[in-house]
Order: sequence, then C-alpha cells, then structure tokens
Amino acid sequence: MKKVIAAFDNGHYSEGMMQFASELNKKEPILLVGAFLPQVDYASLWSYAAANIADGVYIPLIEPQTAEAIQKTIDRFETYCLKNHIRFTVHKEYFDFALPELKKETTYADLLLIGSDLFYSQTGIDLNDYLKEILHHTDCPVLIIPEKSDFPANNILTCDGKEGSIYAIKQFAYLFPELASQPTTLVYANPDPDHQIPGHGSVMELVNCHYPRLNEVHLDVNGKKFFDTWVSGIKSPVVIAGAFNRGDISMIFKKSFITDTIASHRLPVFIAHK
Amino acid sequence: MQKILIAINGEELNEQALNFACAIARIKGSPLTGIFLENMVENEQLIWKVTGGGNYPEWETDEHSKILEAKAKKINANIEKFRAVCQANQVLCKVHEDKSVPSREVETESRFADLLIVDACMSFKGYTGTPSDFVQQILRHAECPVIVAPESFTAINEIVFLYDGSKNAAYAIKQFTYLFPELYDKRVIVFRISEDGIWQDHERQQMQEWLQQRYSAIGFEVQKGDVKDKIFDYLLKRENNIIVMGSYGRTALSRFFSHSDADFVINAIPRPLFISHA
Repeated sequence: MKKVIAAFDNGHYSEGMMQFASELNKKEPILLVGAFLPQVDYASLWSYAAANIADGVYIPLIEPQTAEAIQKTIDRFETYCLKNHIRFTVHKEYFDFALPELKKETTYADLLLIGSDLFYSQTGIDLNDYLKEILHHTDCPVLIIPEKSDFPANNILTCDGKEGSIYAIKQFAYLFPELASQPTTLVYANPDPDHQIPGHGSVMELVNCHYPRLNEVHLDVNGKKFFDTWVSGIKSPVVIAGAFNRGDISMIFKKSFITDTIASHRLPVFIAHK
Repeated sequence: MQKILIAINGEELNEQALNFACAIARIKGSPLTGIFLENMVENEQLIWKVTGGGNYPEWETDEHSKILEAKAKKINANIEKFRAVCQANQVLCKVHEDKSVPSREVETESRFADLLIVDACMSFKGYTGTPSDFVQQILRHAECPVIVAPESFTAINEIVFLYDGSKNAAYAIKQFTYLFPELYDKRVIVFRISEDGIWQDHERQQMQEWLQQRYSAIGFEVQKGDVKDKIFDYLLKRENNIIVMGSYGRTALSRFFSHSDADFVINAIPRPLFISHA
C-alpha cells in the first residue's frame, strides 16, 4: 500500500487531484495524507521556503478567513475520502504546516500529489526552474495534476540518456508497475535527426524491462509542431521527467519542446530526482 | 522484470558471488546480466608511430600479443562458466563485455540497471582489501543500488535496516522495498543507533506508518554506543538476513554511519549488504 501525500495550498480544493487519488486507490489501496498548506500560492510557497528554510522557525501568519478556507477544504477532503473508501489521515498541525514539515513528511512517503492549475499558468517563472524548486524541497517523487485531466492511459517518457531522466523512468515503474504496462512512448529531442539518445542500446534494454508496450519518438529541429499535434492525439497521457540540469547544452531545446507542450496541453507530470 | 547486473572480473569469476546473484535473480524472476570487465588500459604500451611528417608516441594495445591472447582465452572460459552456472540455477542470462577502465564501465552500466551485484574483494590490482578499492569506488559512484555479495549464502528470512536518522538511510529503505516487494512476508528489523539511545517518537511513527503499508512483521531496536561494536554484536547473532544501509553517499551528509561503518559490515559480517544513497 502506498503512502501518498495530497498537498492543498491556501484552502484551494483540487477536484482533479482527488479524482486521481481515487483512481489510484482503485488500482491498489493507498493511504492518503492531507497536507494543508497556508501559503498564498505555489510560487510564493516555494520562494518562501527558499528564503526561510535555513531558519526553520518562520511560519506565515494565517488570516482568519484563510483558516476558515483551510477548514472547509479539510472537510471536503475527508468527505471525499470516506465516500470513495480511501484510507486517509490529516496532518495534525495543519495550521502550522509549512514547507519544512512537508519535506519531513515526504521522507516517508511514496508520492506527493500537487493539484493546481496555478502550476500551468505561472507567469514569468521558468517551468523547469519551478519543478526543480519543488523537488529541492521534497524527498519523494512528485506528480502534478491539472484540474481537468483523466487518469493516465499512456506514458510519455522524456529521456536524454542522462542520470536524471533515467532515474525518473525507473522510479515511475517502481511506484506504478500497473501503469508501466500501458502504451508508452520514449521521447528524445535533439536538433540533429541522426543523433540517437546517448547509450541508446542500454536505455532501450532497461526501459523495455519495465515498459513492455514501448514506442520511440525522436524529435528533431522541426519537431515542435509535430510533438504538439502528436500529444493532442494521445489519450490521457502522463509525462515522466527527471529534473533537467542547468547548463545542459540541449536544455534550451528541451524547454522549447517539452515544457511548452506540458504547459499548453496541461498534462500531468511525474518528476523524480535523487 | 528488472535489469540485474553482476560485475565480474573477466579473468577471475567468483562462483559464490555468482550463485548469490542467481538467487537474487530467481527471487525477482529476472534475467541476470554478467558485466565481464577487462582493464584494457593496463595492457596499453607506448609505441612510436612513424609517419611521413615525423615520429610520435601513441598508447596502443597489441591484440595479438601472447599475454592478451591468454587473457582472452581465460575470459571466454569464464563466460562459458557464467552461462553454465546461470543455467544450473535456472536463470536466464546475458553477457556484456566491457573493455576499458572497469570502474567507469560499471558506473555507466549501473545507470541503465535496477540493481548491481558485486563481490566484495573484486579488484584489478591484486588484493586491495575487503571491500577492495574498486568496490569502494563502485559503492560511491554507482547510479543504481548495489548489493555486496556474501562469501556464503543460504536464504533471506530477515531484513535488517540500519538506520541513523539520515535522509540516505531512509532513501535506502525505500529503494530496497521498491525493488523487493517479493520479500513483504519477511521479518523486518529497524536497527537504530543514536548518540543518546533515544528514538524520537514522531520520527519513529512516520517510519513505522510507512513500513506497515509494506511489511507484516516489523521490530524496532535502538541502542547507543560505538557504532561498529553495536552493529557487530547485534548482527553476528542473527542469521539468514540481508542488511540495508544508506551510507556511502557522494556527499558527507550521513549523520551517524560513515563509509568506514559500511566497510566494517562488509568485512566483518558475512551477509549480503544492500547499499543505496540519495
């Protein structure tokens, strides 16, 4: 049985995330831990942490109306879990629940769910930096779920052959062996159409072990439009990605292709890093 | 199915380690890939190349030398032996031959694997200790969890998680559990050593909550004192277990256990040791 943390910010209830948790629970029973964060939104949530995590003492003040909103969200969470037969707990000190506590909680959790459309509409924030910032503050993989999305029926593995992307591909398979058996596409982006993923043979040998229904797609310099159209034709996809490294030469290429498509299509994203 | 590797010195096949790797592959129902390593760099010689533009030195391997031919013969014989042992253990097998710098080759292979098994004394420079310099390097840099094979092995009836409160230790427990869901019915012991012999309730509860979702028989043991003494006293009395540890991180983040504690376990306690670090 997996221990899954569902993070809610500032009293925002996420129907999409709860539906996802319910579907997960149908496949294999989970223990769902409700984490109710008082921060204003995700952007300030993570930046708050970066500024104050070293002190570890600052807890933002909660306005009475926020406390009320959080309580309402908790009530909805509990009602939904009871109705859908999901085992659940609510973090006891939820009014003090800030990022340092969330990090501790994720040390002994299998997955952190974040359900918010705010993620997909962060203005002025680079999506990669944002994902990396989230991962920096968690000790388990993260799944970001848009408000309107179906439970995944297809896996899209983004892969550059490096440690980060391979690690994410392995962790997704360990956590969701039942989803790994679904149709899966390994996507590799490189402007040179003849360029293969570094260590192609080894990558395919590993990925085939976990994802038996595997396809491979190479996106070259003309691939942006193709990828966008191709993703539209994929039924209920989930994107599996490692944290992209800064300073990576092909980073710009990856950003333009994959993260833009994630944002514009509002795709669920699974990310993991060590 | 998972991708399980065993690193093998092409010239010296350790049959005990191979039999252990076969036992693990059977638990997982996965094939076993033998990485046959050969240090080709040590066979290179400085040769003067003569060209029209002048002479220059270059490192080259003479593949037709008698030494290399004898080496190749030995490696081929060991590959055959590897196949025969796997077959006798009813394990499907694959062979990868890597000819370059062995530690670098294993590190690269480990990225594309779920689990790597090594023999504690494996070395390409004669005996360099237990664990050998080569194995220490692998433990530090491998990109997948590593099991150091014991000298002799019968069965796994118990899992001992050595826990020091660090992120690395917690990470190792999780990775072991993800890789071996088949061992859910084995007895689990979390052995904690802390400076004051006390285990904070909240931390313990969090771990217990997680473990209870995965295992049915869980025990907790907390002790204070010298890490090596306590580990030795506790583990030597117990049999047929696998030890799980999270030290050997690439950064010195581990709170209590150190590389030398892991080396001590490998050297003094004849049990399989699973190491994975965040």
